[in-house]
Amino acid sequence: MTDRGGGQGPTRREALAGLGGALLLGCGGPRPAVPRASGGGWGSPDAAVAVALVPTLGFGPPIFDLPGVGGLAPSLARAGHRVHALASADGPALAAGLRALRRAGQRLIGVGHGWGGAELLRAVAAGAPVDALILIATPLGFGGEQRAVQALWARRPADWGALPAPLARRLLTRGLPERVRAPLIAHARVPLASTLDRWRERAAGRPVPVPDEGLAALRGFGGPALCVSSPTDALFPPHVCDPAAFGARLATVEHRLVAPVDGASRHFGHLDLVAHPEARSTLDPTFEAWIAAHVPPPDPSPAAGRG
Amino acid sequence: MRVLLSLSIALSTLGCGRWLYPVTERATSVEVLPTGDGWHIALHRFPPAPGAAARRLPVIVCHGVTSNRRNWDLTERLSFPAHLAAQGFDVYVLELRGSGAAGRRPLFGGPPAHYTLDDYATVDVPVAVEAVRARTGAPAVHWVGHSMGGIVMYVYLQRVGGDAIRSVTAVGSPVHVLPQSRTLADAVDLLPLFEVFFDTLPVGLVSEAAAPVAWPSRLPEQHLVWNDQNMDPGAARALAAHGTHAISVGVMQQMAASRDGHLRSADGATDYTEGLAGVRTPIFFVAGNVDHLAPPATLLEGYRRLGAADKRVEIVGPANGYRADYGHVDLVMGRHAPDEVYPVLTEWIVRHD
Repeated sequence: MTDRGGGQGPTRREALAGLGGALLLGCGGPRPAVPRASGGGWGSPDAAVAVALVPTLGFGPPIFDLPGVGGLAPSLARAGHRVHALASADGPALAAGLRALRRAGQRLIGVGHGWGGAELLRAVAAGAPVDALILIATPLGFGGEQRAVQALWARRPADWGALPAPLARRLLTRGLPERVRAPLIAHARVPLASTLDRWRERAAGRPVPVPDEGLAALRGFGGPALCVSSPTDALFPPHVCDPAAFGARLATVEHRLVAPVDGASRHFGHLDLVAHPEARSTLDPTFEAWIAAHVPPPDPSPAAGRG
Repeated sequence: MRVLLSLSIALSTLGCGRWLYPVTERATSVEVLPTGDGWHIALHRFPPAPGAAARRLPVIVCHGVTSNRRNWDLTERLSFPAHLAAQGFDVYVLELRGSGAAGRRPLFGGPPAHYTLDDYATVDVPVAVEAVRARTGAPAVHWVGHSMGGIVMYVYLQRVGGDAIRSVTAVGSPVHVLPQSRTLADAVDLLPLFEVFFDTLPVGLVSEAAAPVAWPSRLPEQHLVWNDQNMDPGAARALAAHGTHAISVGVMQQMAASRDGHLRSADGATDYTEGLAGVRTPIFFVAGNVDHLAPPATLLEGYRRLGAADKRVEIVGPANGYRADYGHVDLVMGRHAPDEVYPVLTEWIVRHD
């Protein structure tokens, strides 16, 4: 089902969208060493459901399909979806990128990881045409960041590789295998410092988290949304990712905890939620079941498409 | 595992669960006091260690839901009261009605089995506070509660009030139930089934029976109780054997009803979660990062809502520099708690003494 350099290549429109993503979104896009994470995407262009993945802070689209490892993108493609991976960008630019991806008669699901989810919510507020959202460890509020995050802010590294390894590990993972860590560092890193500045501005010295515009965007979205978070995620734990943590009960939004108490095979850190091999067996079936239940195939009648 | 579970149940039937995992008493005295409505409370004293710095106010330490004094005092090392006493504090470990030395309800002729958080907070706690003040001559006390032991103080401060409480340390004490975990949500949903058969939930019996298989956690439900990787196996089993008690379904109903985001009085007239805005007593909210019974979000909400200017919140976990992930019970009984949690709690109490 995936397009890996042969067979079904990207459509012209998607190729343009990928190029647009690289130029407009301003984050350099995927590196050539990982051709599968190109603007062309994975899976059949004619799939009933398309998924747009947006990576977290300091990482680019290759995090969704690491060489020799795979990842969320090919996993979703194997489930029958068309999958695109976009570079994270600010909300309006991301909204433009999503509009370019949108095809008539095809559902579009926005999937954001961490900071990428926060930008995805800003894109939704800016009118991005998505039918459903999956928000992986996505903050809906800021403030009260724990001491490891404050140490990250204080150091303001150019990218994750510039951070002392013990602090990077504490912030990002509960134990990534070396076969995952090496390609992540080699292929998926992107500049980090300016994102950290934006994060700190949003937190604005608040002693505890308060809802941000992300929660307002989620409330205004009104469509189905799945939030997942892990209590061992040092960057964006459940107390900033669960709408209920801010007293918000949203009828169309579901939050799920990823932890052994709810049957997860292990504790997951921030990167582990998308890059750890066990995320494939723990999280991907959850995503697939949720999509099947909440994102029905589009009406085949010609007038039905929104795109 | 099934064999072990069956064996443990058999041993429990013979009363062997406690015999298998013996514990010793460290309190120098215990006093059982009537509450005036047919129940009793118990106060276990840990006097200041000889030679320790003199402190101004005594400390009352209170257990959590379905628990007793062992919640805070299990072994020589796992004893926050002993830790405080070594720092010079006069410490009283409180057992609320129906728990531990406070006595069980007699089968016939006893007080009503149905009691609530309001009864704890408006009857038991005032008796304890006044008794400690009378015995020490102190104008006020510090209060340290684990889980429900903090919740009863949220209620006391709103229903009784006054100046008798100098500071509160609320460890894993949610301001309402927040079932982020589906396992917890399912357990809360099951409560009405138990209510059909019991007016008192026989938690102690079940826990003692399961003591031999209490560690490691093999069932998702066990992760609700603690992060087993942060528990010493022997301590976990001893706590299961000695540290749990039956509890009124009234308390459980009241807590379960708070899953809508508001802990209310038993008659529904008072919203204790909202009412925190009117509380001026300093409170230190302490949350474990993997505590699923009292997730950090509910402690952070308490901090946000509290009206007092003097307040603090701390999430205990690796992201804040701690060595382990902390669940509910291991916040006070975890293998690293004496080294990295007790000093943090003590620092707050000393600062307010």
